[in-house]
Amino acid sequence: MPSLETRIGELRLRNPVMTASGTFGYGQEYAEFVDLNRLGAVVVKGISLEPMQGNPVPRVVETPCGMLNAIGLQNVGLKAFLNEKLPFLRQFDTRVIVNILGNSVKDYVRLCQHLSDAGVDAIELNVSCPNVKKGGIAFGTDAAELGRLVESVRKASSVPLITKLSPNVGDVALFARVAAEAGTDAVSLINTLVGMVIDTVTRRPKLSNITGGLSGPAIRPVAVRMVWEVHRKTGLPIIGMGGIMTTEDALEFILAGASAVAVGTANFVNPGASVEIVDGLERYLAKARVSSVRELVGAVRT
Amino acid sequence: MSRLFKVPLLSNTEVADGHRLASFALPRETRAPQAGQFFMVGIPGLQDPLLKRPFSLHRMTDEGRVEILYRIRGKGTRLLAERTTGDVIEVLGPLGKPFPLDSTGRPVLVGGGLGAVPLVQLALSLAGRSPRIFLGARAGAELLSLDWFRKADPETVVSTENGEAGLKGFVTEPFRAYLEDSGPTCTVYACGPTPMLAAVSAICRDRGIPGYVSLEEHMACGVGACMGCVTETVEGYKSVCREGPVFPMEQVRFSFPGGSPERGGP
Ligand SMILES: Cc1cc2nc3c(=O)[nH]c(=O)nc-3n(C[C@H](O)[C@H](O)[C@H](O)COP(=O)(O)OP(=O)(O)OC[C@H]3O[C@@H](n4cnc5c(N)ncnc54)[C@H](O)[C@@H]3O)c2cc1C
Ligand SMILES: Cc1cc2nc3c(=O)[nH]c(=O)nc-3n(C[C@H](O)[C@H](O)[C@H](O)COP(=O)(O)O)c2cc1C
Ligand code: FES
Repeated sequence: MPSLETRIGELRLRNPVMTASGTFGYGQEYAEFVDLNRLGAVVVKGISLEPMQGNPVPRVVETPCGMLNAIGLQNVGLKAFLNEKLPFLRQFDTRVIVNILGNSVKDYVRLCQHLSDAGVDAIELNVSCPNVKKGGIAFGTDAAELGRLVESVRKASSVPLITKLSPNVGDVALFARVAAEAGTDAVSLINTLVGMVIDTVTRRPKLSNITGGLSGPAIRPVAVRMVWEVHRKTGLPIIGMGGIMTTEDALEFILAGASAVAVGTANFVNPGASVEIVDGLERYLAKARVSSVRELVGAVRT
Repeated sequence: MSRLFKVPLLSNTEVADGHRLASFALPRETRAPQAGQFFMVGIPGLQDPLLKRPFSLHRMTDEGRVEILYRIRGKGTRLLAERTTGDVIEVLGPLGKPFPLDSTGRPVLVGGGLGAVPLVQLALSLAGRSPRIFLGARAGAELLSLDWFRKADPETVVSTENGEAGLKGFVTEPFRAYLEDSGPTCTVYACGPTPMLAAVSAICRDRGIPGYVSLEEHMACGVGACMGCVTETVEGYKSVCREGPVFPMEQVRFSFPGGSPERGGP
């Protein structure tokens, strides 16, 4: 039996397949469709200190082989997450990774303190969500700000720290290096690419927020390239994501250098996608006579 | 465990210009769909269109098949319309909260245009409680399920904006007049364009009559995970797919991009 076990820094995962933040709610929404026990980790919707309302509708619009979203980071806030959402997830034998966002370094620090105390398995910093004007865009696209944030948050966290990088920058490896020097244990990439769709009849943008984040198969080649670059230039543990629909897609990310992968938009199309990829990876390893998935990380022949 | 099914289309027939009635059977272990619930439907294996499309339960047939009634609008519905009996579709559901059936007083159903689809099964489920039904449409051709409604209420009141069938004008007028005359308590169920729902809700609120509306919003996941399909309620944004699509009228905060609710129609 080949091994699917993998590691993201100190964090051990039963298998390398997780769910991408914002596409799997708080786990509960999909619990009747997927056996959560079979996932390497569940990454929950981004949490802020206080509940957030989010943007007016339309918040989602389909695009060729993908979609734009401008949810505006609607979430229940830290308190309700700890009291109402986390206990549910704790019933399952899977890792719980909490994605967080804030408007200031102080917000992030407080979130990390509370979540470390609550004993979540890891924290993922969303520094790249392009939707809300103050939702972190400054951190994700300004290297100095990012370094300052990661450094402060690192001190406040006693659990593994993952920095989710913005793809909306010129040199993503530079930002990965900054995050690494500031003490992040791993990076996840990519978050959504900023996009826009216009209705030619009304001549208005199709999203109330005007722009939104592009996800789905349309962004996969960009994501694979970024994972490959960051792996080659930094060697950091990477959680790769962006348009993963099938086992083959997940393997592309692993070969490019990802130690784990996250399934996002595919959940909407097929709630069973993540578990099917776990099974598919196992079959692939057996067939290729590879004893551990870790042997494939970054194994692309260039 | 997944409620995603690959099932063959058992029918997919044009019932009016650009409108089709399709049916499929659900695996036996599936919960029986109820009036007001919906399905996310897609063509297996396609990445463009990527997302599934939401369609309400139109009716459960005597053989226990799910029937949906849809209008061809864009790429997704066009592709669905091209499938024929035996072609496999992918279905997620049944999803969402159904209409509560245990309401007080006489059920009064108000439907507008194709938005009335979810009221068909509701009317049939409530047939034993002699529901009163009011149907509105822009034109006579849009009154697609009239025969089913008449089975539940032979005196179903029809109004069209162009006067082609029934009364001329908005459906809210005969509905308002009915409430004026009918002393006894009732519960209102409304489904249709947002301005109509807002008008119906306002009429009910003024008279202290309880009721439910079924809403539509653009969706990605259909299960409450993405928060893409929210509607504004007195308790903030709620997901239409999971916390709805059926909401108690007094919870919904209607906004009126197309005019004021007093206008009374779509
Ligand atoms: C709960 C619910 C129940 C519905 N029930 C029915 C029904 O019984 N019969 C019927 O004909 N239609 C129904 N609709 C509307 C139907 O989902 C849309 O007409 C359909 O999604 C259009 O897809 P398309 O690819 O043909 O159009 P396109 O315009 O190409 O679609 C592009 C995108 O916009 C979305 N979209 C477009 N119009 C709507 C709409 N009105 N509501 C929600 N999303 C939309 C699509 O899902 C897709 O993601 C329902 C919608 C909802 C939310
Ligand atoms: C509806 C939606 C909501 C999202 N919300 C978040 C979020 O709250 N925090 C975050 O870091 N990423 C969020 N993302 C980004 C995803 O986690 C992921 O990085 C991106 O969608 C690319 O993966 P995919 O193509 O597989 O979806 C969201 C994506 C979508 C589609
Ligand atoms: S469509 Fe995703 S929450 Fe309703």
